Amino acid sequence: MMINRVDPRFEMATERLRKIGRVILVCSTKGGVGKSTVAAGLALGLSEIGRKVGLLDLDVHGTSLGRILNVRAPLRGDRSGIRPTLAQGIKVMSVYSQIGGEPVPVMGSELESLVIGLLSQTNWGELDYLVVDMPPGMGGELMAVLRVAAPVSEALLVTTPSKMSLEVVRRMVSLLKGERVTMLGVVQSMSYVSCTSGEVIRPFGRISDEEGSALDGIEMLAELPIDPDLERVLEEGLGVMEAPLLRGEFVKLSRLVDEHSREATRRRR
Amino acid sequence: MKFGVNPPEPSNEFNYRVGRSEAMHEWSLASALISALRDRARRSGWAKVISATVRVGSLSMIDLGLLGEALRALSKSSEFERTEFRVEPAVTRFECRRCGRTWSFSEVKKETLAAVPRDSFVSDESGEQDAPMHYFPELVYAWMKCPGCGSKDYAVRDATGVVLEKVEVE
Repeated sequence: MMINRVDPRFEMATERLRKIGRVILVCSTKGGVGKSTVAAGLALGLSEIGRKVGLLDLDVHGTSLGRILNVRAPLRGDRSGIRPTLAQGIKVMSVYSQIGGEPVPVMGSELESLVIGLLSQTNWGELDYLVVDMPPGMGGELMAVLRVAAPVSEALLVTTPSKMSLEVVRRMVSLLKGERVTMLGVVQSMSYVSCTSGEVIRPFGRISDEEGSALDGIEMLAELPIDPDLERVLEEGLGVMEAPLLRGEFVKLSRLVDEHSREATRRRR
Repeated sequence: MKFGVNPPEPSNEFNYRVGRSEAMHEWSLASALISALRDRARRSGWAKVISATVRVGSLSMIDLGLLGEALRALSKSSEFERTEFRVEPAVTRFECRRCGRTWSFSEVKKETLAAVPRDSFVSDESGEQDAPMHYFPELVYAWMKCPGCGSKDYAVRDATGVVLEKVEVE
């Protein structure tokens, strides 16, 4: 009897997710808004408050986590799967370890298959949180990860505070809620510059609490400053938590996310 | 359990491994295949699975013999002990969207594997290494180009990974 083809990797991915408390999808509507920096900061912040954390890079076309966390080590594995790389106290899996600077223009069903491959082959072990650095937008990677992880997924949306982005953020919230993903909140990145004179400049404007609450009750969790030291810190291989203006914000954000996630888990029970 | 492996065609299509690893991927795939078969049998109410056919795309560089051994070992003393697992090779084919050229992986494997840096290979505990496509076939896009026009704008037309394709049940 012919059957619908069964891809055993779905079984493997589901089995791995059983050992993971929650999957936090760090999403953005557009590229270049600081999503990977937030994903790394959140993962490291959660680790600092004592959680067991993995960080998965699904931004295959624009992978930058490898550089942010300075992970370009050959991968190793055994019969239990591929071991993620340990970096700054968290487990990291990124195709950057393999492709380095090579462009990988994989798309469509093959891109979705690669996502399932990463979810099925990576042996995270027991984790409290798997933070996922998603590519920008609502493409195949997002739908593929939800195919296996939706029941344990929560989403954190990263956006610049431009009012132009609100409409797109609204669409993404609608999609994620429709797929029954718990919304943790919105992070406004690159929100302001603090001058030595004490003046605060908001180059992209600000999403007010009222405008935020119009997003179907989604909470604004953080307004992150532009940290002029971030590039230097990354160039020196020090890690995003060494950026002086961002470090405290990431720890605060991590505590909030941890509280929200635990509360959402209590409500589901 | 009976076990059958059909020899791959062409004969060198499946031989891309550098050294001989512990077949770690084959074992985890076999375990997942058996779990998937168990789940399907339970949901469909199959009393007995006489045979199960597993199709293996050449791009995934799975060792068919080792996958068969793993299936045999893992199904021992289970409800699938007497199931015949057939492991069938399938040649992965590509089609260029720019020039229309079609090709199989074996035609370009030498230059493709030569383009993969050694530190991109995945090592096991014995130090043996597997090409990244063994675990993530889609990463072939990083190193393979259309042999006709050199473009990376191509599609997989058939068979990348491992699928349970056919069962014979009672």
